[in-house]
Amino acid sequence: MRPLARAGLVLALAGLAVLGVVALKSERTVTKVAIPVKAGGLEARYFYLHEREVRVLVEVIPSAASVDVEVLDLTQYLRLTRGEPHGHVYAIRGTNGADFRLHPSRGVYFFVFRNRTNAGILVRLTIAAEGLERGCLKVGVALLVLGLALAAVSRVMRE
Amino acid sequence: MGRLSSLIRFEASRLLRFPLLEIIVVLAVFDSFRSYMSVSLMGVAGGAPASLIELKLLRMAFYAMVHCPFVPLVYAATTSSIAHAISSGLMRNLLSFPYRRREVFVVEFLVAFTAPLAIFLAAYLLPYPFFYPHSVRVGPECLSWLLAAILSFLYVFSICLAASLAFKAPVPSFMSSVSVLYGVSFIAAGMRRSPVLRFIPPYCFSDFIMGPADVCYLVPSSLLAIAIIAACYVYFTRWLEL
Repeated sequence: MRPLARAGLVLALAGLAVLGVVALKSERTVTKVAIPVKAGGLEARYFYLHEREVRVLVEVIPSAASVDVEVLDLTQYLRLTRGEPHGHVYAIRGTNGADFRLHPSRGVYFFVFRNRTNAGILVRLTIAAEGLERGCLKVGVALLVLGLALAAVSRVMRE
Repeated sequence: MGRLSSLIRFEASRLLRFPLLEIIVVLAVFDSFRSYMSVSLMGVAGGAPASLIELKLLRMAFYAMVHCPFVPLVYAATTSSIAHAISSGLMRNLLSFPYRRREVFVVEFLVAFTAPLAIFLAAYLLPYPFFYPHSVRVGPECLSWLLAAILSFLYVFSICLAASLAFKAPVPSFMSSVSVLYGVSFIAAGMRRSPVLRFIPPYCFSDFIMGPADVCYLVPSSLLAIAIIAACYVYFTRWLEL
């Protein structure tokens, strides 16, 4: 087999392997954590999110209490830790519960909870991810197309 | 040097013939993306600066590489083609050319060991910036994980090479390599709580990567692999009858 055609075949098969993994990993995954936040305190947790549709549920216990919720990416979180002005991916102030959707890029995200009340609270955080990983899907398709293109070029050159 | 490079080219084209290269690439890419997409990384942000998060993901990539279930299959297939060369008379023909036995052995080792290793390293490390799209800092700990991964591959290769030279036929060589390697893995998995486990591959390598195992736990498996390869070298260069 000609080297170009073989390289095309290898790339196309690698693309199919990636697409296979994307299909296998498209099931719904749920992560649940309970986060205690002291009175007047701030708690942050980081999560690695894939490029899938993410639904976030925040419950505050006791329900009469309230909390500020911020979702930050890595750059925004580093700005926050340096005390600099920072943007956010999502933010809501003074809530006793939230239910929102994120369309994250792949990477680490920080969920920051600020308790402005005088009593400690417990935040129950549920993160559910579902759907196909869009970035990996693009990689798989790109490898497949590139592989097929190389195979076609090799065939044209031979003819 | 040109003589050896032509031997390397010949052996590379023989060992990575269609469809072996394609199978290795598909298995490596499949397992790499499967492990990256299974990552569930979370923690308390206050105690974990960005560099620690980044290293956790890299550590997981090396861990997945050491525990990849396809590595024994790949090395059993590449070394069984060495057994096939012996049984089919190709090795005798090769040695009738002006190549010394030690040159042939070194070239077989270089190609059969490094080609799958390079493919697996590329499959696991090239997607890392894609899955962690932030700045990456490579420190000495990353090199130690890389060394542990290479030693784990060397261990698998040594067992497969010994089986191929012992049986000198592709099917028994493949079956015995796979049986021994998966057998050791299953036995080791069954004794998960035992302190002896820290010395048994692949856990000695993965425990070193994930911590808290010390470098001394790598020594027995690595020495065993080097001793087996040295024994194979002596057998191939002095006693192997073709």
